[in-house]
Amino acid sequence: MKETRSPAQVLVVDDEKDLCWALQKILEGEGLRATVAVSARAALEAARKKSFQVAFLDAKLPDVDGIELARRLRSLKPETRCVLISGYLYEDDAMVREGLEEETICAFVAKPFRIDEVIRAVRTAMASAQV
Amino acid sequence: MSKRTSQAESLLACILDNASVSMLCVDRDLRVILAGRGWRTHLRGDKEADELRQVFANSTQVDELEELVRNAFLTRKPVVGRRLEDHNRHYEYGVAPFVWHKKVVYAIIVLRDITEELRLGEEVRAVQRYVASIVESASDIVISLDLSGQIVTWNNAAHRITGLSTQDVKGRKLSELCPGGSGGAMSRAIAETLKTKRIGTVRLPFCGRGGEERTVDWAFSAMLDETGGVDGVVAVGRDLTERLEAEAHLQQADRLAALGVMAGGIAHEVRNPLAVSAAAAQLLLKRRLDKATQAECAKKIHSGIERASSIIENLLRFARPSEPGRQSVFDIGHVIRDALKLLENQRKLARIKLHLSLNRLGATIRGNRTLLQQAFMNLLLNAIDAMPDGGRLSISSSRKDDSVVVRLKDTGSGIGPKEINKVFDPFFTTRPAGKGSGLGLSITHSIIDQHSGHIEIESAEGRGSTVTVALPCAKEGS
Repeated sequence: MKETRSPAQVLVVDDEKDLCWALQKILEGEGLRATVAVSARAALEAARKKSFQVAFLDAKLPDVDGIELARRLRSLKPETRCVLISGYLYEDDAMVREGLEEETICAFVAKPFRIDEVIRAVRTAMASAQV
Repeated sequence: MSKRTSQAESLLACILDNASVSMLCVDRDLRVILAGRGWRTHLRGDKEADELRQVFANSTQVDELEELVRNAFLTRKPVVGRRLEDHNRHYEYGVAPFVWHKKVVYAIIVLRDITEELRLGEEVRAVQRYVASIVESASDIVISLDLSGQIVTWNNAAHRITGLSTQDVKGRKLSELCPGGSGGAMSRAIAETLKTKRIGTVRLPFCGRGGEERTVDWAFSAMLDETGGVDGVVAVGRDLTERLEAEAHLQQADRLAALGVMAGGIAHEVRNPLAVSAAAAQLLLKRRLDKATQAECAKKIHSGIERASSIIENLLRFARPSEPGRQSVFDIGHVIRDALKLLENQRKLARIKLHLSLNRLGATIRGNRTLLQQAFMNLLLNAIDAMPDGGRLSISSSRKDDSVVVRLKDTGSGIGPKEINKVFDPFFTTRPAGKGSGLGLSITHSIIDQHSGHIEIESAEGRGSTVTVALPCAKEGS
């Protein structure tokens, strides 16, 4: 398990720069390394260059939906686990439920969030990646 | 019979026939001896038929007539001004004794046919009653004023609206009934009409029943006499209070409908800064952070709260009912930016690119800011709605003569030639039921109208629409 020594790579995608900052701080506090992207296009570009274990995706991005981005990321890099994050959707919304059932996403976090919710989601994602 | 006698009789007959009054000569036995034209036909020459009673056989007042004739023989005093009806004609008559050698020989009845006079008088009165009933039944206030501006007549509508009767207001000036220092404007408008004889219009508050203030649109016109000189002023006032209230309710309903559309977007909009503030606060509480990161967290908390509260403030300002009279001077660009901010999320969701080119110079206008923001909000909502699959929204402003011209151009679905003439009609909508009230554009039109502006839509189906709004610039120093 060589990979576990180097910090896990997490991609944070939100068009809100301050939100990326907050997620980055939380994740780095957990010993993870976060890369920030403010659009789906930037996220896909980053994913082509680097392999991410987990991606936090805002549900509403200026170019494509978070769920659609998750689909594209996973077809690009099937090992990446996606967490959907939104200030608009709820966990029981059809879009979120479908995403979870189809395993396009493996967790959902509503804004505003508690730090431990984010940490739990990242742990869930990393655990499911190791299964 | 001597020649002189026969001449005298002919002369008498000639006078009787040609006088504008008719005369009958009656003897002591109440028989008609002589009669003028018209009455002679009643006379048949035999004693019975020539009795006064027989001549006026159709009149119910013949007893009175006989009585007066008898009295004339007894008292020798003439009577005048009596009335009598016979064969549907009306007469005014008098009875005079004819005295010959100290003896009353005949009584002369002088009749004047007043049928036409009476009919004309009745017609005049009917016309007067008709005119009065028009004024009295009018739903608008109709008041006449003399040259000094004092109230002369005051109709039912004026009574109903103010609760004041004609007695209460007669002799008072109309301007005394305008509350809150608006009497001066009323006096000036009336004076202007008296001076120029032109119709003057003005919208002013007016005293309503129980001290309630009403809004009345007045039209003053000069009353002219036969020589064309000014006699006074007629003031016609339409009470707009209910209509303005209904319009304000409609505007409010439209704003609330727009708010409904925005609600989802706003929630998202507020939750982002809340999420940043909450995360930064938790980091401060739960992690050991260096001084610089602590300061950074505090800054993020502060800016997040400020952003959230500015969104809420913008929203509240929009949701609040506008005060109709509230006027201020502002840059139209700020109003458009505020409206865009409220709709930013809708626009982003639809992936609409925004191209703004707002000219700040000379974009200052005077008006009701909330209402104008609503007007632009409606236009922006329409543009966003027309581009569900993304597009480009260009907003530009420029100065043309004394107006600010704002152009909103979308690359959306456009409006068909059949529908373009109906877009400003209330309740016209192309959206499915429940998706739009159809009030947005009609309210926008009325708001722009209220600001003495102008709105126009050009559209090509499938290629998009361009809305042009022109609003007069605020005058210097206003």
